[in-house]
Formats: sequence, C-alpha cells, structure tokens
Amino acid sequence: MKLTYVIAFSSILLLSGCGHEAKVSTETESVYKNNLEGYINEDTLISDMVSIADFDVPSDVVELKNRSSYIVLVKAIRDLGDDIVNGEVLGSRKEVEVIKGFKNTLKKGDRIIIAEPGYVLNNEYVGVDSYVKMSDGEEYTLFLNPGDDQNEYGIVGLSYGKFSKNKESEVGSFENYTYYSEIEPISFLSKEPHEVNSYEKLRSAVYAEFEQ
Amino acid sequence: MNFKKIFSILLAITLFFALSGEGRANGDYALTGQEAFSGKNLYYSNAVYNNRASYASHKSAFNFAVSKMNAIPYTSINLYAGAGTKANPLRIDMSSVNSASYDWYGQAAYNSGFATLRINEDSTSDAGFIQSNYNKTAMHELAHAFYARHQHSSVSSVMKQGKYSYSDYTTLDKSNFGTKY
Repeated sequence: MKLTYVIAFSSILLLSGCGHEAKVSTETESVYKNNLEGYINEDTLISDMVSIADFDVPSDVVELKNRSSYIVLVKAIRDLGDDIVNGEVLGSRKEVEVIKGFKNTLKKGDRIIIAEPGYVLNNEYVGVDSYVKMSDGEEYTLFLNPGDDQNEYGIVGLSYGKFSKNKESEVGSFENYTYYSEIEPISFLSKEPHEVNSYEKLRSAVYAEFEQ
Repeated sequence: MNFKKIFSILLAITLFFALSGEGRANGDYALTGQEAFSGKNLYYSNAVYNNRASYASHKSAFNFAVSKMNAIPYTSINLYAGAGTKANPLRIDMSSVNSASYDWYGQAAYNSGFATLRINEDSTSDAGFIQSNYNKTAMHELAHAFYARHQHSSVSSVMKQGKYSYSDYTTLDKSNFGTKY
C-alpha cells in the first residue's frame, strides 16, 4: 500500500514536471517566433548606417586554420533574432546544423548557434564590415571560436571566416543597394578591390583543402 | 628624332602607366585626398562626444584619439566632451564591449549624423594588446566616424586593419583630413 502511494505520488510529480517543461518550451518557442517572424526577409531594407570593424584579416588559409578552434561545414537553419551583449545589439544569431566537422569535436547532426556580425535595426539591415548573413537552407564552411554562450560560436575574421560555394563576392558597398534581397546572393561585399581579392584567394584555398 | 627613339619613349610611357594602373587595380596603393573617404559626416564642427568606455585602457585610448584628431592641422574638426544639448546633440558615443563572439578589436557604426565606437576587451586582451595598440584602434575607429576608408596593409596609416602601434595619425592621415575637413 505504501509502495502504491509512493508510486502514485512520484507519478504525479513526474507528470507535473513534464507539463512544466512543455510549458517552458512553448514559451521559448513563442519568444523565438516573435524574434524570427519578419526578422529578415525580402522587404528588409539596407540601412544607411555603416558598420566597419578593425581586426586581423587572415593572410592565408594556414593562419585561418590556426586561429580557429573549429572548422565545420554547416547548413543554415533559421534566424534567432538579435544578439544582445551587455544591452547592445552587436549582431544576430543563426541556428545551423553541422554537416561535417573538419577540426575539433563538432560533428554531423550537431545544432549550434552562430553569432553573425550583421543585424536588423528598424527593419533595415546593417552588415558589419563586408558581412552578408547566411541564407537559410544554404551550406557554408565556417571557421569558428567559442562564443559568449554555451553552444554559441563566433566567426574568425568576420566575413573572412565564412565561405559558400554558391555565392560570389563583389566589389561594392551596402549603400548602393536598397533591399536586402539584392545582396542576399553575395557572399562578401566590399568597396575595396584588394579586400575582395584577398577573400577570393582564401576561398579558393579553403575549397582546395576542405573539399566536401 | 628617329623612329626607334620615338618608339622607345612611347613604350616606356606605356609601361609606366600599365604598371601603375596594375597597382591601382589591385588596391595596393595609398588612398589620398577625397579618395580616402567614402562620404562626409555632418557633425565635424564642434561635435560633442561621450566617452563612457568601462575599461581604463579603452577610455584612455579614446581620449588619446580625440586629442590627436583635434590636433590635426588645417581642419575644422573640434570635438569636445559632454552629454550634448538640444542645440548641439551628442554626435559620437564611445563604449567598451567584452564579447568572445566577435573577432573584432574595434568597431564603428555611423551615418552622417551620429557614430558609435566600440573596443572589444575579449579580443584585444586575447591578442595581448598594450596601450599603444588600443590607441591605434581608437584612432582608427574615430577616423571611421569621419568616413575615412581602410588603407592597404602596406601603407603607413592608422586606417589599415589589425594590431599595430601608432603614437599619432600619420602624415598621410593628416594630409587626407586636411584635404577633406
């Protein structure tokens, strides 16, 4: 009899716990949905706000590899909204799924968050330096280091650590475009020809070494 | 003057322009004058800035950068510290971040009316920055607020990207600012 009560009481506790977890998941889902819905789409404009960064540009693929804790081939899944650090929006968060790991422990099937140096402000896209956000459904080779949060990663060298076989780099500037949809096919956008040249050299070397 | 001489001179001239064109096409040359800028802010005269950087090295670097910018000769630039007023609102905001998610040492976000400048403690301390490196980063970001473009890494300028030490804006930088402002 005592055992029956124990089992029954435990079951009640267990079931109420499950219900609570489900409620938290639903709430989390709704927060993400609010962040996701319309975060970036074809109607998103390009901001007149220019954002440019000072960092060490990788000189070659050897340096890029050495600076990276992780090298992965991923598929972009979905946007998770702004990346807010100490009350300031520094970028945005993208969920990706690992297709293949080339360096360290990330492996096929892992879902991770990438802090992208590009974000939406008042329905206008601000790209930091030459960065154009990853497109959902597309594959990218990424060079990463651990980020601020668990399961979050930052891209080494900003745009110089993200590569797509299907997208081309371009000499130009964000201010020459009106809608995000116009820059979405571009992998790297800079008004400086030498920067585009450097990126393309890296891209060739990356795909020569990390053939999928 | 015979045909051979004329041909040699023409060949030399052609080679000269071809080689200098090649350098220009690859971008490995110094940007000068108007070319060194990609636009123009509307706040360079008597602009109010707020240095709220939370790390001593960042705060010192931003103050250093302001003093060097104000000291550039033959410009109308006059930055002064304050919270801003209705008549002369805050134009440049300077702050610190500490984020492992972003690989940049410094960042500037700006339009023609306002600029936000940041230094990242995580990346700079990882890279072993000393004060002269912070000073360069701050001068670099402040120059962006005035629409200065990046310079190639072969050029002597605070506008090249990466960890460098500079005690002042270089001769090229000052010349460019003198032309623009």
